[in-house]
Amino acid sequence: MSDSTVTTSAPAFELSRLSKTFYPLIPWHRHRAVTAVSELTLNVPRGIVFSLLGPNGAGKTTTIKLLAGLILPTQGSISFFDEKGRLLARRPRIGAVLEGSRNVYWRLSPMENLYYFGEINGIPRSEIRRQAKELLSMFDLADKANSSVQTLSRGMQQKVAIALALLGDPDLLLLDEPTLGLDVESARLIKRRLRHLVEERGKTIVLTTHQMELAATVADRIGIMQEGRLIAEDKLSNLISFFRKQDYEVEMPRASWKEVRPAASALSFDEEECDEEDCVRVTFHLEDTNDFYRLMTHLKEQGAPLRSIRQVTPTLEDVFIEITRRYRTNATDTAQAQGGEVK
Amino acid sequence: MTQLLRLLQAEFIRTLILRWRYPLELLTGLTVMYLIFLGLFLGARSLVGETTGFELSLSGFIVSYLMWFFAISAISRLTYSIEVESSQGVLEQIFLNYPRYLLLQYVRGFVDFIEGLVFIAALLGLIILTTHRMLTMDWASAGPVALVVILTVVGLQGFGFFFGGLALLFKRIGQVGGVLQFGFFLLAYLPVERMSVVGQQLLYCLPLTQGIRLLKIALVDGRPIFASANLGMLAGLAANSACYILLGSAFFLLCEKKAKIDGRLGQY
Ligand SMILES: Nc1ncnc2c1ncn2[C@@H]1O[C@H](COP(=O)(O)OP(=O)(O)OP(=O)(O)O)[C@@H](O)[C@H]1O
Ligand SMILES: [Mg+2]
Repeated sequence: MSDSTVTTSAPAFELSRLSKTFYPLIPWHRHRAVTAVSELTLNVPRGIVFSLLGPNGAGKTTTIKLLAGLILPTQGSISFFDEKGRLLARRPRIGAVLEGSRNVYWRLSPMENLYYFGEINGIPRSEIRRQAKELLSMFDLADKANSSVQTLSRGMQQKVAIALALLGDPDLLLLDEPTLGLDVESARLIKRRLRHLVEERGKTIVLTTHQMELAATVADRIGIMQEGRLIAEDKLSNLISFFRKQDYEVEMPRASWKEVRPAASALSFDEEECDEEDCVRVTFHLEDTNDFYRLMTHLKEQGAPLRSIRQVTPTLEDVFIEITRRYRTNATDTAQAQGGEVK
Repeated sequence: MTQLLRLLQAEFIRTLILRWRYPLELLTGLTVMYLIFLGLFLGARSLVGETTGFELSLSGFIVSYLMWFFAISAISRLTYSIEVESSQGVLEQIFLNYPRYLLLQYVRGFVDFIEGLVFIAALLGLIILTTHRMLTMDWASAGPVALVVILTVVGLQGFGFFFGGLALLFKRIGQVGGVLQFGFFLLAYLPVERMSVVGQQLLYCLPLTQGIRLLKIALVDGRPIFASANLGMLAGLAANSACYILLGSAFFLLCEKKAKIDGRLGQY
């Protein structure tokens, strides 16, 4: 998918044909190698939330860890840039929340964890002192600040991990499913915080999630991965308008639909039961505006009493499902065309 | 340099907090070490009887025992902490915050050594109370003894890096650690001096043996370590430890790289 808007801001980092294949340690298991990331080329500008989506095993976590330097790539490169757009020689300071694990010392308290990692990170001590307090109270952990992490609830532990990622004000944040296990309030707080960091402080955030709603509300740009490949990458609004169809959803009494139906048979539609009795919900998939007028004429001719009519805008979830479905059928077609086996 | 001092401080504080919060672990450790010693001591006495021979070798016995403690702690600390930290994801957090992991492990080794000294002081106190045996040591030999202990521990920790590296790759290698502890126990008590020349050469290539030999000269025989007759041995110990720490570190770095290639820093 091509990007119609030119991004003028400087890049935060650039992935260039980045690939990662995991080979088993045992030599005679090498045929079981897994290519987790394949030829990933991506340019993420500074000051945005970039959300990486994809089904399980798509390679999101691997991409995050490659960015963080926790995994070395098999091929390709990662370049980081400073705020003036100059190439950095080394990886800048990165704050990260990694998937599923708490990534903190369980036997230390949240406060002690913040101090320990702040110290070894080389963050000025006065900053650690100020920020540790601020972060813990921001995440409602002030009264748990001194109890050991293992006695905290799962969601609280996740919040400690997020606080730790924010410590020291890193320019780049990598968040792998950060809201996993968080309650509604905390998830909201984090959304707001992320927008604040990006808009007011110019931070760059890469976030993976399976919660489409989260991605749709915080992300500026969205990348969709599948089988290690980046199969779509664009602004959220572009993705949605690309898939926007002339879909109209009409609800009417069952009897009226029976009369309209023969006339409408030239149009493509799906019908289903409404929540109310004796009512049908019909979704018309129209080609263009003329189709819309034609539909209206049919309805008018039959004098159908409509209960409701609305245009259907696709959600990010619809777009996601559509894109991954298309990719899958394409992959299958190619495989079949090449005489290959379909997995 | 200041960053190194901050690491050192952070590690000291972390250790103190953990010891304070979980005092039982330390007390259990001390009790177990003491009971093992007691068992050996009483067993040996009932075998040999309270002869002068037994009296003479008791000091050597104690020296070997204390040095054995350094051997186990050097090996088990690194492997155990890597096992635990990688399963909790802390290892990844450490790499995010301080990527020069080997350096951090040197600092931790130092903190561990200091902690070990405190532990040993307590253990020695108990042993002296039980056996009524003081080690012969005057202030003049304190410096040389400290030097030998430090050199020996450096070698042991270097040896530990081999297993730390393997732990980065294979995680659960705790069982190997158990076998090694036993191996070092044998090594600490083997009468190397009475073996064939080839046997001696081989055993002195291992860590621990040379250190114990030098310590016995000072603490059992009461002779000075810095005498010209012993300087060769001292140089040998230094070379031995340097080899272990260099090779161990190099191997550890290789394993670290391999772990990053295979994505094994996390709990995968
Ligand atoms: N360290 C590793 N060793 C071997 N294979 C791995 C390793 N890490 C990931 N993989 C494999 O790489 C592929 C991508 O995994 P990854 O964790 O990046 O997916 P993901 O997009 O994060 O999935 P999820 O949505 O389930 O979190 C998977 O097939 C996985 O089994
Ligand atoms: Mg993942």
